[in-house]
Amino acid sequence: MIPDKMIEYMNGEIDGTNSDSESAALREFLRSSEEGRRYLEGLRRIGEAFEAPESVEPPPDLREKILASAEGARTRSREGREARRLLPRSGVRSRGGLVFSFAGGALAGILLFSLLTGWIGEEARENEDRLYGTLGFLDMERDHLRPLRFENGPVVGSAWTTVSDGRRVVAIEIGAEEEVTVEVRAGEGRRFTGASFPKAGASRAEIDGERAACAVEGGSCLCVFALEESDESGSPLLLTIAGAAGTIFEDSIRTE
Amino acid sequence: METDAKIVERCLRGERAAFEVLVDRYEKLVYNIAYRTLGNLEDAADVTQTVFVKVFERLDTFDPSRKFFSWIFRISMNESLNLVKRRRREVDLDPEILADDPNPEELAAASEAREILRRALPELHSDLRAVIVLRHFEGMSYREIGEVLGIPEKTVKSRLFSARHALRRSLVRLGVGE
Repeated sequence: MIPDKMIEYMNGEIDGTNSDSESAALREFLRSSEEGRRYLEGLRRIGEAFEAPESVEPPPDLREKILASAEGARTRSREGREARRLLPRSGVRSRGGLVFSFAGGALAGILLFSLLTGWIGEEARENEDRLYGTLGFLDMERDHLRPLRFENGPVVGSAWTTVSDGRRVVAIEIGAEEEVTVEVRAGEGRRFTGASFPKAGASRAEIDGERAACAVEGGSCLCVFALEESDESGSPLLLTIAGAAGTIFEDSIRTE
Repeated sequence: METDAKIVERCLRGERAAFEVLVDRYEKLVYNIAYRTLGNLEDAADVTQTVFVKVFERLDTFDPSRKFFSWIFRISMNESLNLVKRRRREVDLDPEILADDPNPEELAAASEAREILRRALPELHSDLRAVIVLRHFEGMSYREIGEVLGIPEKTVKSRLFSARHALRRSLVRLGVGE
């Protein structure tokens, strides 16, 4: 097992940021650690693979192609607006759209509020049942979903995700020796819509667009976040677990 | 020099010349991000065109309180990596070329590692990909990366280490290294 400090020094070696004493400490460590030498070699390959000797000049005609494409997009946009202008106005539909958007937002807010405060009304209970139902599914399917497993310092656990009932659910099962924050980032075009903690031990959930987070007080906890996906890119989710001293673990949760 | 935010404002008012300024400022950057991700000049040119069309179409969604560089950078990365996913192909090493090289095995291993890492790059979360590209493709320091992405230097380091760790696992998993 390579100490975190040595991994930090190895990365510093690749980036040329180590002090003399850090480089010396790393050299001393590598003298007796074959695992360390292999790890450093792997990092070097990454640096070499992505290194480009210098910038490449774009072809001389690319600028004109870009401007022509943008002009084409401008024309298509103008034609689209013109076409919509000539169609019968559907003010009722557009107002209805606003009403639905507001109602959807209000519903999500009610659900989240009820989940966070423990107050459960009829509709919120139905939604929570769906989450628990999903959890049951996740529980059974966990081994088939290639979970991301982690064990680092004071935390151990696994994270996995699946699509159930038309929306993506992300579950993080975590055992922590101290209070940590668990954060999942979904990337552009995706939005978290709710959180649930079927077992005790988590609090202070924050749902903010592409980011969902909660505090885990220590012990064992299961955090479940619901995501409304607007794309099918299959892009991974980013899980970050942090303690008082900083990031403890960070990695991607695969979605396909 | 006029700020990017001001130029975007002018673009949104319909000034064609303002968009040309954006193209002149960022064409080379976008092209190089695409080239270093895709390893192919023709694909890099195609992606560069696509990126600027998307920039043009989505300019009204740009938040002027953020850095334009970060915004166009992310669009460039996403478009490049989308093409990587669509064009997954095997590396075809020319045996004649290898035979002339004094270290053909090393060359083959290095080329294989490069190809594996190019394919592994889309698997990373966009936040991790961004730091890898800015560090290795653009040669930025931790501080510069932090400024571009609006994150502390400590977070840059942490994400860089995590990204390399994940990429290294791809190499090991596919039998290159260790």
